[in-house]
Amino acid sequence: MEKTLKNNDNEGELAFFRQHLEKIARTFSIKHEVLKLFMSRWTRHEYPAKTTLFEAGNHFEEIWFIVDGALRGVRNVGGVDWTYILAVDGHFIGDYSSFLMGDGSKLSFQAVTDLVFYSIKKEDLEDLYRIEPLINDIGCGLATYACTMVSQRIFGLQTKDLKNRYEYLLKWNPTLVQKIPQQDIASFLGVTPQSLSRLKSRMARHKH
Amino acid sequence: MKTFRDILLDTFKVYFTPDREEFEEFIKISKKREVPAKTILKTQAEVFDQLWFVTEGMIRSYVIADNRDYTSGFYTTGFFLMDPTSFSRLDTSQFNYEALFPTTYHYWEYEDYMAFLERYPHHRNGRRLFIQAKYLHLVGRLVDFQTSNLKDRYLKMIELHGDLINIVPQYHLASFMGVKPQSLSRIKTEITNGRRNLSMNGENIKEQ
Repeated sequence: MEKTLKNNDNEGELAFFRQHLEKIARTFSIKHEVLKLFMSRWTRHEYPAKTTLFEAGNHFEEIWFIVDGALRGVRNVGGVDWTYILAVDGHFIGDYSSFLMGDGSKLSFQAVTDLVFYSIKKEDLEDLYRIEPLINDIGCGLATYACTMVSQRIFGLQTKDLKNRYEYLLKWNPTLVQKIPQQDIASFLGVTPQSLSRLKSRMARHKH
Repeated sequence: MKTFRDILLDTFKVYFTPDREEFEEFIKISKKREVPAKTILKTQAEVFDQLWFVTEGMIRSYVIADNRDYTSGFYTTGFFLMDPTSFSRLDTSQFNYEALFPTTYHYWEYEDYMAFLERYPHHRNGRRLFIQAKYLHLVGRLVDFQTSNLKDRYLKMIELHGDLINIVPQYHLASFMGVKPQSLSRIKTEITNGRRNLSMNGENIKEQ
């Protein structure tokens, strides 16, 4: 189900989305009119749980913002599906490399729960950059956000400590840990569900 | 020997050819800093309110977590360097920076850079491209982490930073690559022996 955003549509969701964009706008001193112009090109989508939203091999030409629910980006390596990306409400998401480079994505995206998200097409975003150069600053915000996500992931691989990685996830993404099944969290962290389960038991014992 | 102007122009040309007047203006508002080896340039308690461009030597970025030092990046001649999050929000950085060797870099103060963007709004596009390029660089590193062997990753570092990488303290390089210094040492020996054998074979061919 798709519809372009209008002020009278889904007020609560729109307010949630605006609130997140305003954070970026404040950082870059973006004016209200510019933000309004930026928001005018987003489209709302609603899908039931387990829907495949995007198939690997295609060019990922959009940026998504999750309003409600959870999704996962899966990469198939040697016939095995690995959860590569997890995202919940308030997250911008997509295959940003494929988006920037125009390559086919190695990822497929699936709704983990019932899902509501907004999307903007690359051509619309580039059109906005041309019409209003200040929107480049929102683009900087989105790129900075993406850099932070990758840096966190790399840091996790550098430290190689499962406990640290899981605690980091709990600290920065508590909603994600609540909404996403344990096997996906384990796959995302690069371990078996059993290892994650053992770690959680150990952590619970130390807490008491 | 290439001048600051030549090196900067080479770097810009990867993305776009700058207008001559704007390029001169951009150079005019930069400042130069020369530092001896082991100078701490910024700490994670400070705001990263400058844009840096390395013209000689090497800068290392690192994170201190759980009393351990994790190297997050190396920057050599022709590299721009900034913490986009700290720079955008004028908030404290997550990273520390030190000159590993005698280093020269040119820098732009936040206020001067923003005044430049006010004067030439179309350069907001360049700023976005710069952060997007940083993202793609990080993704490349993440993919290497997950898919390439240590030897290929080490050879890639030499390709990117030249032979200077061979004199970087081993523990910093090992930390950056997420391995033990001993593992890195084995790979370096293997590469050195490989080159020696190759060179010896070359001499034999010449003699024939």
